[in-house]
Amino acid sequence: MKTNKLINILLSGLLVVFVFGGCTSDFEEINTNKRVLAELDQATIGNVYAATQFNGLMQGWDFQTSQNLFSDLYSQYYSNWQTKFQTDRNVLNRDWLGGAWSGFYGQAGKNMEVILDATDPAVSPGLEKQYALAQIWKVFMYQRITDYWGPIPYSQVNNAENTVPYDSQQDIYADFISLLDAATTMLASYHGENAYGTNDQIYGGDVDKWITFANTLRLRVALRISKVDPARAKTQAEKAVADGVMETNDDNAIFQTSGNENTGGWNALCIMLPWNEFRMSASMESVLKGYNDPRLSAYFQPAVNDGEYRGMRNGLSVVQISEPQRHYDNISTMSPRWATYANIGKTPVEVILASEAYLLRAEGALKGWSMGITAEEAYNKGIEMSLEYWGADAATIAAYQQSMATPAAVSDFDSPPMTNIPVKFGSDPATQLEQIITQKWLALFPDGWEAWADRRRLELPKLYDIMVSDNPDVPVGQIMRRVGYVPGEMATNKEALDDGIVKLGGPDKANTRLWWDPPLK
Amino acid sequence: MLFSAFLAVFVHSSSMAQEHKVTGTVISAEDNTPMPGVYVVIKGGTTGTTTDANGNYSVNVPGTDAVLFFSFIGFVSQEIVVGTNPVLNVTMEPEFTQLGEIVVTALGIAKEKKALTYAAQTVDAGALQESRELNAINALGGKVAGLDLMRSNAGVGSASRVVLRGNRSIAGNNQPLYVVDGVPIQNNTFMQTYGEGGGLTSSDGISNINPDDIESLTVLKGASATALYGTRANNGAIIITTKKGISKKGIGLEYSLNYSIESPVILSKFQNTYGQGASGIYQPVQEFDWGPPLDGRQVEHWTPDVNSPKYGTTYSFVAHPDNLKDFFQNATNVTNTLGLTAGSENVQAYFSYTNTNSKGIIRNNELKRHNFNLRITSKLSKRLSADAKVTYYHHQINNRVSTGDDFYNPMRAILRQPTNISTEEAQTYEYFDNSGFRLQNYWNPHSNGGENPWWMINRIPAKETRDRVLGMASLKYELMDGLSIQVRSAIDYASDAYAQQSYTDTYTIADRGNFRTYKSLNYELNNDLLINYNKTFGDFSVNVSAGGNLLTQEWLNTSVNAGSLLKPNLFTFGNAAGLSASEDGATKKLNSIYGFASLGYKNYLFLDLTARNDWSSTLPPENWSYFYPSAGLTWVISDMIKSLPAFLTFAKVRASIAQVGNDTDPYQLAPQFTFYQGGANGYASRGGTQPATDLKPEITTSKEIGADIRFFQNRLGIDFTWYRSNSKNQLLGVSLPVASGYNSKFINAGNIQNTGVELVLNGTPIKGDLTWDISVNWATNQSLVVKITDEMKSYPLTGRQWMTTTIVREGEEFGLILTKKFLRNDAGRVLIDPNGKPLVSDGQTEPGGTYNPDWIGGITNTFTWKAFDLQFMIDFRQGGMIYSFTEANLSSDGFSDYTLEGRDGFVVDGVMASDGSENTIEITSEAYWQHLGGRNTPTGEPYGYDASNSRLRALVLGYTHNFKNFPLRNLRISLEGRNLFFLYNKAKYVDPNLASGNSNVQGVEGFGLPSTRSIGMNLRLTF
Repeated sequence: MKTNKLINILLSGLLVVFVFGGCTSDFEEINTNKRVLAELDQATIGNVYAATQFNGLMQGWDFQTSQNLFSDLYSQYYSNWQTKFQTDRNVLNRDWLGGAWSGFYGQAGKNMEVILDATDPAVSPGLEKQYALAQIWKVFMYQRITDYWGPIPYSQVNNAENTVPYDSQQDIYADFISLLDAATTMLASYHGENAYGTNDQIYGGDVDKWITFANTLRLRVALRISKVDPARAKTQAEKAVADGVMETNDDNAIFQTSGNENTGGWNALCIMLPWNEFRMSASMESVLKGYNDPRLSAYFQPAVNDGEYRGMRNGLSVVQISEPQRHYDNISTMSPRWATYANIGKTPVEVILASEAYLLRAEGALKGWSMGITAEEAYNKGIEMSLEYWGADAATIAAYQQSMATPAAVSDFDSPPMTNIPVKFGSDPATQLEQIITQKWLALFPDGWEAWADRRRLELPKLYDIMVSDNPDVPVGQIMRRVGYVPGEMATNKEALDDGIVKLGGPDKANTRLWWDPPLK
Repeated sequence: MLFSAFLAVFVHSSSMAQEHKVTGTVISAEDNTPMPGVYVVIKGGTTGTTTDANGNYSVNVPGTDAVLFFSFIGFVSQEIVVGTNPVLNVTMEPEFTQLGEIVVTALGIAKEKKALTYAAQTVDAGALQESRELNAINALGGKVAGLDLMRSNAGVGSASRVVLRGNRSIAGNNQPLYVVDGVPIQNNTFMQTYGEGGGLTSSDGISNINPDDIESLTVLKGASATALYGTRANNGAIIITTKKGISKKGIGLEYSLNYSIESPVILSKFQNTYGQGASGIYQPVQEFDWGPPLDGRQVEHWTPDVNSPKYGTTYSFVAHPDNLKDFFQNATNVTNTLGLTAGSENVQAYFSYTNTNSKGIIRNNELKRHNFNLRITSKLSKRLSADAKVTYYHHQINNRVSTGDDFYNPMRAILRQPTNISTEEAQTYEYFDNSGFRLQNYWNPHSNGGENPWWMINRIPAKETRDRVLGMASLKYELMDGLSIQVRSAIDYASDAYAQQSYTDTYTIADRGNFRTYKSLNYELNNDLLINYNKTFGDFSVNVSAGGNLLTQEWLNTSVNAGSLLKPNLFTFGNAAGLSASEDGATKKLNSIYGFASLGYKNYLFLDLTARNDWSSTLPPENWSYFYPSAGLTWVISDMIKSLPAFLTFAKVRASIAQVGNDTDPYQLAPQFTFYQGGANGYASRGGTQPATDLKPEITTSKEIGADIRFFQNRLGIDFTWYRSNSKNQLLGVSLPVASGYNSKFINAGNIQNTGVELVLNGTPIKGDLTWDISVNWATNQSLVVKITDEMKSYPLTGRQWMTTTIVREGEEFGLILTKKFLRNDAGRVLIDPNGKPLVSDGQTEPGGTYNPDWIGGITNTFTWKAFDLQFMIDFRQGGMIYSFTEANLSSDGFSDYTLEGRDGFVVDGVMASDGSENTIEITSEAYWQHLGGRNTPTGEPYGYDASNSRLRALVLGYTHNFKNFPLRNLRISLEGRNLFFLYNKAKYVDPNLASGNSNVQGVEGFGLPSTRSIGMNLRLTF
């Protein structure tokens, strides 16, 4: 009897153990993270779109490893002052580029597809405006990326697979035009309406402004492909102008910043400037000073030590950087607009300006395209828009447009003037083109992405050679044609990358030309 | 629910079995004096006691057939059948090995060591208390075969990394589970960093355990040993038994004082020939030593303080070779411990308090630590006993030293101070400008990455605190002879806080000042129940246990950062120009049931079987329940065959096989859209990890065979183990191409195979008045990545670091280091570019060895002569690589001694990449080292060293005196030294046993604190 009782006790004890051991009723509740949303509700799409604007502009922590250490130097807006940074000497630092690549795809690229999936009219009718605005923004941000590398993952981004195929740049550009077609067609039914509201940090959701933006972007795309596909370029450019591109500074696309470095939404230059890593380039000094350009003080500030505006040459060796006359206090940094940390959430980021639209039309007109304006008119309008945007008055603008001043000699390495063209529109097409692109270079500042693309396409402006090249593929006298693929892709997407290099049509090096960049005849 | 389960059992019980009390005295055969602290335990049970100060004990045994074990470190353990006599006096014979020793195994079950079916090594608690380190676990280094210990270099209160039998988890933790008095404790590191990038690494959980409270410590290495602990003991377990009170008259008191002084072991070699500047030109703003010769010429003073009398003057350009040495101070550690025991027959109490005060070699880096421990064991009734313990721990660490390339790391600043700048002048680290602003006095104002090192240790104050409470209560009821049930509840609650103030004008990282705080709460609750049945039937003995455990873990981290301050140097959040806050946390539950059977035949053949089933909340419903078993067999040949040759004293062989399952972290199964500040209404972003919906538990299967053979009456003993473990279905966050929309996804993959051999050799070459004991341990382990997945051949252990990337790759050893190397032709000659510089790989693509040692070992020699003893321990670590990010920077900045060669030009040995001709282009060492080294993506090859080293790890000289008829019964005084010198160190510029952090990323150091040589004394008084 005693034994039976004991066995009963034991069994009941064990039963209790098994019951509590297997008690899993609260497991799913416990394993739910209440600090995140598990689903994207409609109200959240706008927040994702807002993030995509910020990240698509590469203003996050990847600003330095994408724009600042590459295109900003290859367009010679700045010269590098950090002895340990080699990209100004044409070295392809693929590790840094990896930061740019994953910064783009890991944020903007990913979230763009999230938005397109969530607003696809075939799936979620009623969100057509949101869908169209996302399509336009997609073109804007991917153009920068393909113009860096060439073939990139594009059509199958967000496939959640172990391999993401690369698309050729030709196909990507064709899709840009399709997307712009689709978006503008769709938006045509929504004139005067709003999408995304205050989540749109550029136009506050104004659909009409976005239509103008899309047309201007089409014009930009058209000129980019003008060397490789002139017929299509002409059609697209003329369609863009006919549909209406930016004409006044009210049309400008300008990203309004917010927050601080602990949040998002800021102007990355305001974070970077106190690091003292880059300074005004000699090319900028030669042109801005020679032209007595009103934008000089808008872009830069005098050197701390002697109050002079002074730039320095690009591609300096470590030894040259270390020379005392190039100490950062002897060279101009950017103007307080960017060089003041407190402006991090105040200084806006220029996306596309009306000045660029006119200068694109000037180049088109020079080609004989129907741009609704002559090359000279467009050139002068471009200058006017840019100077007006940067605060010059009408008299100053008029004087500048007629100026015969030419770029100045630069004290750094006793450099002669960068080029000899004046501001006043010239008479021969070669001078005119150089003037248009030089003024576009000035007007695009500080958008190195676009300026470097022009430099590759046209070998303009006639920037100084770098002093030293540490990359035998791109010696002094030649220019960087692209950047290299990144270690992350070699590690995680090798097969697709190899196909991408085939589509590139040359080795994965800095001197391999992109599809839209065949050598000038 | 658990408590009611217990009550149910309790109420139903009506057992009338005869309980029996046994008392007695234990004396030492050596000098016939009573032996306090002898462990007395009932065989096969979980209860026991220790003898009091007079060697007396009292224990209740279930019946006359009960068997008592008497065990004491350094003496032959004994096993005695109780019989009917209520008094059992025992004489203990000294011995050098612990034959018949009792080992506390999983779930607190005491087992005879000879019956173990797996390798277990016990470490004398004295080793933790004398020649002590702040982190008690560091005392295990070199003492336990197969235990690989790496210290991290974050100043006082640094964490350590312990790995048993190799790394097996690719993405998870590779450290063992720590179990204190039968209950697992948390060993998390509140702030953790890795590699050369660096940052803050906090203390680890195990360093909170007071070495003075430890009674014994057993390392269970294989999965067989730890199968019953399941998941968390996948990497082995370290079982700690703490002290209990003893029954005695009056109060027993023990006091100990430990004092030690540490000095830095500086291994970096500096040149003192050239000073600040570049290209041979002196420039006061340079952070390089590529300037002109230090020939005493007059040069412009560097101070930016216009009000300083030095401003605008010149000074003599000479070397200050002791700058680094002067920056350090001698570290001191003072530990005071008071232990009290008191007890009656039915209630015994143990209380201790330990106070530790430490000053690091970096000024202002201090630690204050308080350990309180109260344990009460009691016999509530004849059959009901209780054990309760509360441990409270508090520490405060001031100015924890950041590691690696973190701009907060003061080592980074002092190592890069030009040699012509004297300590005395640099020590004037601040000044006030004419408007009263406090500014940093530095040679390169507003430097990006440079700071005055003295500013860093004075004007970036940080305070870290931890409060931790460990509570445990257990009740045990004897239902009948040999049958008991125990319920236990234990809580481990830790609260961490870190606050750091950066003064305005801390360049780059806090130009406008900064104030940040991190807080972390960690909570773990374990409730368990254990039923134990223990009986001998003729030749057979049976010990069966069954039980269950409910584990709840919860953590919450918050951080608040005042990005910059409105009013300088007012450190409040209200004064923030931009404030950000973040919060993260999770909850996890793990329910388990388990069973255990140990069957013995004639006391020479033992079979162990275990089984466990876990239910984890982190896995999907179809997979959240998982089962795993183990089996082991031991054959004590010498107890079976009595006719063995006389020289063979003891021989046993053992074999075991075990599986252990493992789960994952919370919240891996669902998509995640996170919100953060930005724009008008906030930004939202989809998470980077693809949700895993079909995760399976990870399973490690281990096999182990071993032998334990002793000769010549235990004068010589060999313990040999061979093991192999395969960890499969590992939960990996694998990298996806980022364009896929996810950075990573979780998959079950991998087969990491660890194979190794462990040898422990004990001997007593001399025995008598003078006794010489020698103990040698040696272990080798190979971690082979057998497979990851069909498509995936390699997998990164972390993101990219500046100089190295650590990966696992199929067919290679775990922890392969990738770095940049020289490009070479087929003949192995370095290729040279048109500028005369060596060509190096584009990215971190080239294999550069692993961090795993080929073998590790230790030799401990102990000499005793009368009341004196002398012990010294040498440890070895052979093979593996260590990459020095410090050297990559010191060389490119012209500080290292070897940068003297070629200052005026030299030709790199190599051939032109263009045409294969011999290189004839001259470059300077400045150009050469700046090309290879530096902070951004340096070439690792010239900075990778063989990590092989051996050193005199510990030396202890002790004197013990026993008093008779005097309140002070025992006095022990010892002198001790630690880390005294290297016998050899192939990585000549760095200490390869110091790691940047305690994560899976090892094999690289960056601007770490040097290791320290410590000399101290220990006094112990027992009343």
